[in-house]
Amino acid sequence: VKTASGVVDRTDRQLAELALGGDLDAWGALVDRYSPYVHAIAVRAFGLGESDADEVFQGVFHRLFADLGVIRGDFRGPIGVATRSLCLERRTDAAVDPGTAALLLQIEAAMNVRGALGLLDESRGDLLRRFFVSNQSYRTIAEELELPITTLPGRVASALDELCDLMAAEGIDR
Amino acid sequence: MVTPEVGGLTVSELLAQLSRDEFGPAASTAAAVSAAMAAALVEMTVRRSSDWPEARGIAAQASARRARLTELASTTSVALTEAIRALERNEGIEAPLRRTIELLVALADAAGDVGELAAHAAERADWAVRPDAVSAALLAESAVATAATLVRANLLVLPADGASDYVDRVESDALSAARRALEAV
Repeated sequence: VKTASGVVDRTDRQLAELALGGDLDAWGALVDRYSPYVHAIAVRAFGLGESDADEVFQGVFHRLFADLGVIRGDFRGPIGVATRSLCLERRTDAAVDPGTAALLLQIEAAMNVRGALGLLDESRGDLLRRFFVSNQSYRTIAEELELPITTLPGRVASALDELCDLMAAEGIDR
Repeated sequence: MVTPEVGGLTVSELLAQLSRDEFGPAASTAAAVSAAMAAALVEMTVRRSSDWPEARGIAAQASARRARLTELASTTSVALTEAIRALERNEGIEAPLRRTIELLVALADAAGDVGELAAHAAERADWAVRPDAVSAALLAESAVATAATLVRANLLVLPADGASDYVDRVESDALSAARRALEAV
């Protein structure tokens, strides 16, 4: 999760400034941060196939790079708008049906949860990020963190419970 | 051409697609669907274990892997079809084969996770549903073995990389998980 230049914990704006100065790690961290979001909208909500989803992905991050100097605050809003717009261009009916809208809401809620991972201590947040966000297997997590594989379901469950309690205390939608 | 999207098919439709003499869903899809069913069984066993404090967290992990496996049921099929077509054309073979192997390893990984969750459930869930958890571990183990076999088959035409050793380890984990589950009932 941590890169060599320690960019992962920085805000979108800070990453953008670094990327504009030529820091490739910072640009990579921004892409990593929003790739699951773009992918979820394109594939899960709009049901695009692999090649259309790839084109949307390229288009969104091309636009983001072009606008890096002017976007203020959290980048999720502009990235979401660009992704939905590019997805609609690839569909025959240029409308968002109720099913798609419901999926979009679920994805936004999931992004809130993802942001809430910062409430946990680093090792527990890292564990949940690996399993749920990066889809890392117990085998990979066990090898990289040097933990016994049989303990991982319980560790993840415990971290998830703590996250739910913290989110309830913070009043975050889940 | 059969549909590569298997998530919305009925069981009968899926079985009909698997049986056809056409490119489309095949062994990887069967393995992914088996493991997804195993994940669903794990979810059921933990939800029916009211005295188990970490049940919610285990169910959430199983649900995440069920979604992943449902996606892989389609994507592995599409990737394999592209790889076979490249092999038939005898050009541009490496990229689709590497993509196929990557997805098959992901399938072995996700199924392996389900096996661990099933073993965990078999050791802790309500006694009444432990046989279901054991069944889930066995289904997951066979899905891992299937994915590992397909990885090795695809690696025959590519230079050796770490994928074969890695799936060996995932397969060994899944076998251990199934044994642990069996010993729990």
